[in-house]
Amino acid sequence: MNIIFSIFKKELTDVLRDRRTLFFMIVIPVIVMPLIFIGSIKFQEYQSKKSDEKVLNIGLINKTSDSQIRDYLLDQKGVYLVEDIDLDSLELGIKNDSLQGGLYIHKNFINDISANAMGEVEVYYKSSDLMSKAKNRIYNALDIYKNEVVSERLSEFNVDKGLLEPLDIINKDMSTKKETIGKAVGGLIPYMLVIFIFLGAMYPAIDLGAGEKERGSLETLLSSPATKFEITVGKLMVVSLAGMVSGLISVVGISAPFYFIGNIPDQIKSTVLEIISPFIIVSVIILMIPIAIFFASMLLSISFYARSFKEAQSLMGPLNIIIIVPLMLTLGPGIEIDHITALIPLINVGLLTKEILAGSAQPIYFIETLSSLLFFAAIGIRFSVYWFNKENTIFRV
Amino acid sequence: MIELSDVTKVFTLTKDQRKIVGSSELRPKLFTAVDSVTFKCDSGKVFALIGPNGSGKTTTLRMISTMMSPTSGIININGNNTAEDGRLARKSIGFMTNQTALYDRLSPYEMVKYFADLNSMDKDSFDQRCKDIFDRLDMNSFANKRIGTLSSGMKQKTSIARTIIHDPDIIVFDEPTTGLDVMTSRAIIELIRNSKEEKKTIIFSSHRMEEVKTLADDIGVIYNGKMIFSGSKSDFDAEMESTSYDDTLINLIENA
Repeated sequence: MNIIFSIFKKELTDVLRDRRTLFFMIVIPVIVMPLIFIGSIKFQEYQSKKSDEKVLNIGLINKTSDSQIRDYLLDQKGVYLVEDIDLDSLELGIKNDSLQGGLYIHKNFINDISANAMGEVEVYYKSSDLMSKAKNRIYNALDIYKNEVVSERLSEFNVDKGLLEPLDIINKDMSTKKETIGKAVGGLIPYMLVIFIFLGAMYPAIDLGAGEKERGSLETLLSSPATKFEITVGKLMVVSLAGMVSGLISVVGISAPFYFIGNIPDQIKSTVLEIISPFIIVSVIILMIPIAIFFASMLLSISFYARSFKEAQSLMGPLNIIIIVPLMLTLGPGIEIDHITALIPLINVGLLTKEILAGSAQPIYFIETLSSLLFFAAIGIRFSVYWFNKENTIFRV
Repeated sequence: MIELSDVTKVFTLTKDQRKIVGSSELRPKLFTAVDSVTFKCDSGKVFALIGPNGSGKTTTLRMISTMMSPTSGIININGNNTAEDGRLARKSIGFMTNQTALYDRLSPYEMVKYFADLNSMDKDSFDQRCKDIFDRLDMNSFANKRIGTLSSGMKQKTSIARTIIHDPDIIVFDEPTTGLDVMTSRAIIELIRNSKEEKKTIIFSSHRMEEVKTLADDIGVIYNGKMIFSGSKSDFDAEMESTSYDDTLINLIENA
């Protein structure tokens, strides 16, 4: 045990003096995470505001003498009507982006409406233009016109509006704000957490395995009285700890913007701060421990196998994708934690963390998830020790 | 004392290694790196293991240091079979290569302390031994500086201190002076001489025949994994048909 502790102490000192490791373990989660978070919120706000305020050029070809739809279009915020153009110019204008949308009102439109038939209009737009709200603004104007026509027709025939709206639906949302926000952001937190545990563990793992080979210090270490088991466990402890610290710091990084961004509504802010409670932090930390051990064992095994620092880096690259895919699955709708998904590593973390953050996690799933993660962590440790004992691995040329 | 009896090491080759070792028709799956090697190094003597690159010197030294296990045969370190208790064997071994094999982010003191801890040295013994070594090697001026900032000579001294901190009975040197400058090589040669005076068992591999001539009491010549000569320096001298150790080694290999 003393030897394991000596290895742990030395490796920890070494890792904490490595700028690259500290950068991935602390700087990125502390600085980059809030920057990404705040930046993306601010960028979205800016884009949305810009899109709302943007004046859209909408071409109008009105073959009737009626100007009611035209008036409704002009009532829309941010609409500039381009009139007196033909259909070819309207289509060309939309294609070359000088117009963001167009409306063609057919000659018989008013006659058809007057005859209680359907009046034909054509709406031109580009579905590829995601930021353009031209279609919405044209539809808004048309909706106002349509409702007016429907009302007139119903009153003409003395028909009550309720005849066309037989259902009076009253929505009663039973979700608490905590549940709504927990489920919405709950997918993002385990995603970030797991990625940062992985990133935080990666560089120490490379340094402690392939780095040791490259320096030639592995031979001298192996010639010491420390057994291969003790060496592996000592190194695993440090790599796991680095991953856990990185994961924890990333959670701090994610929550920091809620303290520092001024224009987040108070209700959301207070709910988010309520979500990040000591109970939830402790629960997430408990889940983090076996994940970090599992990642550390996999990364260290790869690192022991690699001949050099560079080779270890290139071998670890594809692992990122293997980790991201199951977590992405948990972000989508329709997948819930149950007795099967609670046993699948990473998917279980993603789903359970969502439930924990929403305050709806069931203890049985927590136990199942933790048991599954501990099982895989134990396999990971066993594999690392087996792998490090293989002469072909550590003396690979 | 080191004693090897009929020691063999066979490696299973990877696909890529098979391509290098064998022709396309004949790609062996196994490669015998060390083949039935037997020799003995007595306490207070220096044993030089010589032979061309790839002859099996490093594999033999790695097996003596218990980094690798022999496929067959017995290695005894101070009378203990390494296969039965590797840790006990390693406690009496100091291992050194031409690479300083240090951790740049530690100080020489931390480096040496780490290996003392791995050898379960108690604090008083460590303090005393560390002081002696640091004084002897004139290391006190840089004992607490980061190794990454030290000169190659300072690094080599740190490497020596790390190797001998636990006062091992046996010191294994794998090509200790290859690629080193004259000053740094001299420090290692001094270490071998001092260790011999302290009645330690020393085994070293080398390509520098002048070194072998100066330092060795016994010589083993290994070629293609087989020990083609093992005896005292006077036996080796008797084999000499020319005045040069290099020529004698080449003659032995060509006649093997």
